Amino acid sequence: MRNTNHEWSPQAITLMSNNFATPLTPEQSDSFRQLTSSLNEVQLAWMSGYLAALTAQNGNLIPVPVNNESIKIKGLSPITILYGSRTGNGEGLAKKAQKLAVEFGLTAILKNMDDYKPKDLQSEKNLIVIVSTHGEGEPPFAAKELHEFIYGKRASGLENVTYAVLGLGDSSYFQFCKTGKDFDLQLENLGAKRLANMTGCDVDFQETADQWLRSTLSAFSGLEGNKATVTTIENVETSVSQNYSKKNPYQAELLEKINLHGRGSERQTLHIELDADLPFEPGDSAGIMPVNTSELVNEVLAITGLIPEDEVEVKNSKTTLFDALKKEFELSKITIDVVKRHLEFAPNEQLTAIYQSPEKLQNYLYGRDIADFFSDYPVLLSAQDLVKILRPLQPRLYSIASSPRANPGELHLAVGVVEYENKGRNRRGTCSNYLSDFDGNENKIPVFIEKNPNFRLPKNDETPIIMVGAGTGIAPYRAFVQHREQVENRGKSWLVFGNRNFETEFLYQTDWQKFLKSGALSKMDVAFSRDTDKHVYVQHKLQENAAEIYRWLEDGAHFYICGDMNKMATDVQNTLVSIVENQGAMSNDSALDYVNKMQKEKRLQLDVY
Amino acid sequence: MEDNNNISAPPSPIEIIKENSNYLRGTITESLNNPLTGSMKEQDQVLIKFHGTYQQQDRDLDDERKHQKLEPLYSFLIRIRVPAGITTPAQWLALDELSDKYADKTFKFTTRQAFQFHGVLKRNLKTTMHEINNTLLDTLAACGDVNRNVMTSANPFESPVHAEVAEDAKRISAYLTPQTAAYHEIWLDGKLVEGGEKEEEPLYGKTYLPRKFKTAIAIPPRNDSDVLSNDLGFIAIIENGQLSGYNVTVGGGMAYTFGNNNTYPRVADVVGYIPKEKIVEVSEAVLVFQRDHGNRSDRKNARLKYTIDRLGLDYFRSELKRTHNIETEAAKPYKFTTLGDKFGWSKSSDGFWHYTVFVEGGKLVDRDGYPAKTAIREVAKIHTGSFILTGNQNVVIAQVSEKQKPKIENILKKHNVVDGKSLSQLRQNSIACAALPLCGLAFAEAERYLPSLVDKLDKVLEANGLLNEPISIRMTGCANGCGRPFLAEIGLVGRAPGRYNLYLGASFVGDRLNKLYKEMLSEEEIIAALTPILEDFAKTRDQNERFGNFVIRKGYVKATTEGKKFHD
Repeated sequence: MRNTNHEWSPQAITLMSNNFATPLTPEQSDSFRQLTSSLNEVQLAWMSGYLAALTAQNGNLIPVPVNNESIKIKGLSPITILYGSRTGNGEGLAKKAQKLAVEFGLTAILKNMDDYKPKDLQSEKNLIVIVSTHGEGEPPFAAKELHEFIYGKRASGLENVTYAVLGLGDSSYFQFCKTGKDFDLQLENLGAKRLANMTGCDVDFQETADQWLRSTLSAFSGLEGNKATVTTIENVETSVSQNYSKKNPYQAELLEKINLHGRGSERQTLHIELDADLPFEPGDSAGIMPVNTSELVNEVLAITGLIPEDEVEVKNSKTTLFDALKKEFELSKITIDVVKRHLEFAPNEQLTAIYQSPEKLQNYLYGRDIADFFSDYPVLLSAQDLVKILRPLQPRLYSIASSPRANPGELHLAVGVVEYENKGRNRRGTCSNYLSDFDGNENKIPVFIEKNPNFRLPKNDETPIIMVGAGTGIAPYRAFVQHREQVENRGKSWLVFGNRNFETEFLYQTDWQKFLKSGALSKMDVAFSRDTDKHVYVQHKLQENAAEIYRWLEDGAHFYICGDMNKMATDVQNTLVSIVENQGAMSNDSALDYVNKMQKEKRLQLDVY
Repeated sequence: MEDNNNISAPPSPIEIIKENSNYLRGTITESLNNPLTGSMKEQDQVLIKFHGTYQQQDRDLDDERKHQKLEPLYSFLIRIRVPAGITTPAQWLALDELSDKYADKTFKFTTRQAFQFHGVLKRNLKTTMHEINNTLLDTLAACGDVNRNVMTSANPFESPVHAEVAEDAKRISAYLTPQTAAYHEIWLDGKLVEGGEKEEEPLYGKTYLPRKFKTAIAIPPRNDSDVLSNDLGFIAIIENGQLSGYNVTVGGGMAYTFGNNNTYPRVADVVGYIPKEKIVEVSEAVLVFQRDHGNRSDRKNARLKYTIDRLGLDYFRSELKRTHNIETEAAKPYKFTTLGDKFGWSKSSDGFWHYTVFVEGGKLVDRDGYPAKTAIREVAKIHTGSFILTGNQNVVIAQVSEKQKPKIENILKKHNVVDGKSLSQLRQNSIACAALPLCGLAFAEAERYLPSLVDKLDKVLEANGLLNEPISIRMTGCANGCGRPFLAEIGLVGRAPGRYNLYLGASFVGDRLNKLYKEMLSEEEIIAALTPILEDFAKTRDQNERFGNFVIRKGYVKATTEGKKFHD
């Protein structure tokens, strides 16, 4: 199993000092042993935090002035930073917190909820929980077991625990940061002492998270009984990493843009090739920062009666309203936070009634954009008022459809184009149409990598893989198979793909045919739902091949699901359980255990949206 | 010449595929069941032809789809075998529905009186074949190295013996149909034949024929089945209004390969007369001769026409005598006057009416303002007679009673079905093969292009007072000759996109091949080449002289006296 715990225990050091195989040279090993043998527990904990932070910086050295005295390591028991997230944002923040802790003279130990024994909660003293929320208020898979545990009978006696919770989420969903809130309330119910108020971070989380982490760590450092001890270190400031990120995206050149759908299809899926020299692994996603169409900006301006040249302040700098609307704010959809701020700005009984009924709200939001919103609920406002109400424009994430091994320096995406008509107006998905309209002549596409550590090829190339995907959910598998094509001793691979129509929507058909011929892909099944009146979907193909699927699972195959959560992932998971139940001749409970164990062991991985 | 009797070269790859196919089974079912491609495995592409279907692809979309990482848009042509071209209204309605449901919503009438569906997707292929069989028609041996659809003249109005000849066509067709159970197994969910010791093909054997084998019957004076272009032909001899027997013709065929002068089109030899009772026996004997003597090494030299030229007619006759004890009498006199169809209403001596509908390029389709396919469907709903496909890609609404006639006239009028007679004679006597985009052999357009070329030539004809002068024009996308271009007074054969070879000097009745006049002509050049000749024709022709004869008399081209001299 993948060890995401960056803690270096004293035992590990002992092992090393006993000539356990290390990547260090004998000289390095000697000095390492000399250094570590002289450290006390607190010093060791600090060093482990420092080294972990160093790793998180991808090797960019953090200046460590070991010779002066302004930072004090305090005698507080190390803080456990317990994180649970899907995309890696939570893990990133946890590492940052660990690093920041040093500034506050604290030591921190990172723990992934996925590897965490729930019973250990009782023995924690200082605890920071960082946890994300997905879909309709669900915890990420890594947090599932712990989340269940704190609501269960065996959870109790957390009186010695001091804690603070940081939630990650997306305020455009109804249950914003629900899992964070759950942890916050339930830890208190179990007797733990809340040190800082729980804060929910929206998709634009960095700033809020930084603030919270600093104030919370400061609160921990002020806890009674904390004595300053030993080593003092100054000014641990992170050197600015030149790595591209959401804040600092890579400006990629468009190499190729093709509609993968043949004539006769009512929809479009774009194959995009970008010249982007970014480090990533198969399974990762690419974030694209789109802009709105001028058409939609003008519609919003017309409806609100505001002037495009009006000056507004956004992120501490001044710009015109037109530019702000084009580049900085979501216009193609209305989100709950926008409704809330609109109501705060201009109370309205009718809108309040909608806002208070989740069902009505969901119905209202569906298929409407900001132009609709201000046309339905007109209000006199200034340009600055408008941008205060609107939601900052978010990057869109797409699973990367290429492997850097097969296409070094490139990054391929499969993007479903969202376009429909509602209320007599043509509606277009912001990013898919930004890409669709992009001509590549002068501009570049801002792109960054969003790590997806929970959607990875098996460590061992020989491990068989079963990949199930519908629509653009096939994208990461192209990366997987491209990657495996470069590998000598590769295990079997089986792709199950679903879409609507064979002739026009068989995404990357000729690629798969080549992979099958070369042996990079061993087996493929397809389900095209609209080719017959039988509505065949991927789960039906799995069921048809139940015996073989089970045989592969028994041989240790990893099972991947990618695509639409509501329409596909649930059906596929249920089918998987039923296959295990029938083929393994076991009870439904045992089959569920079997599949849960697969997920626990990361042999079942999902990338759903 | 007997030295050439045994071809010593190794058999062609196609022969090996046939040999190993277990009587045409191959891995067709496996190919059909592969959901990852719309195509069949290569060997199965060969075998399915025997079952009446060809794999094609939309060549218009090839580049675009390659870019889209999609394989070519594969689809299948299905040719429905209709001996003598006769169907019932019920069959018509059933096929019409199938064409809308699984094909491209059109009918192609072939030059061999068969229906053709285009654009059937692989996943619908089996169902379509199955449903065709439910109409009591089938597709077996509509293509492949076997005896193909047996043609006859479609002229019940001209001859009381039409029905009798049609029966003979059906008897030949039935007798020469392959016996393999593969067809039933694959398409009709038939059970595997038990035991397997039974010899499946008493007539054909495991490797069938060296090449396709075409049979037709003509009833003079009309040669609408182009009888002399067939491997085996019969010319009905009518004495005192009764069918007495047939003149037998052998060794006709159209195809040649550009750049290979050992290949050539050939008009059949008339070898003698047989009484009508012997027609099936003679058919078998000729087929057996070709089965045993045809060239199995080189498919470009495998048709009966080459076997006859290689071994000679004397040897051919001696073999007929040896294997089937058949001796022909001297051929009886006959006279053909035309290759074409007679459009509009005709009345036969039994009092029935027959209406021949002009179908340009054999493509029956609903067009804006001219819903021809719908019109015939509406006719089929009330029609009590039959429909007869003609060798000129048209259709006859046959056996209409006096009482029904006005009703059918009404329907045709309502749907703007024009009387072919109102069109120029050039258009009435035109044939085009399917060609692009679906046919893999085509170098150039035919069916989609000929109508507009005829528009332009009509203007030249009109200027010269020749609109009512019957001249035959045929266009094909390649030299394989599905549209029998080498028997047209104006033959246009595709060489490259927009470029055609122009052939002139065939007779109007199908007994003399044409000759290459100019190569690689564009549309402009075709018109420029033909205009002065047509002007000359209008001014200096002899009375009743046909255009094909005129160009020879005036020396535009030399007459082609036999196939071997086609390239001279």
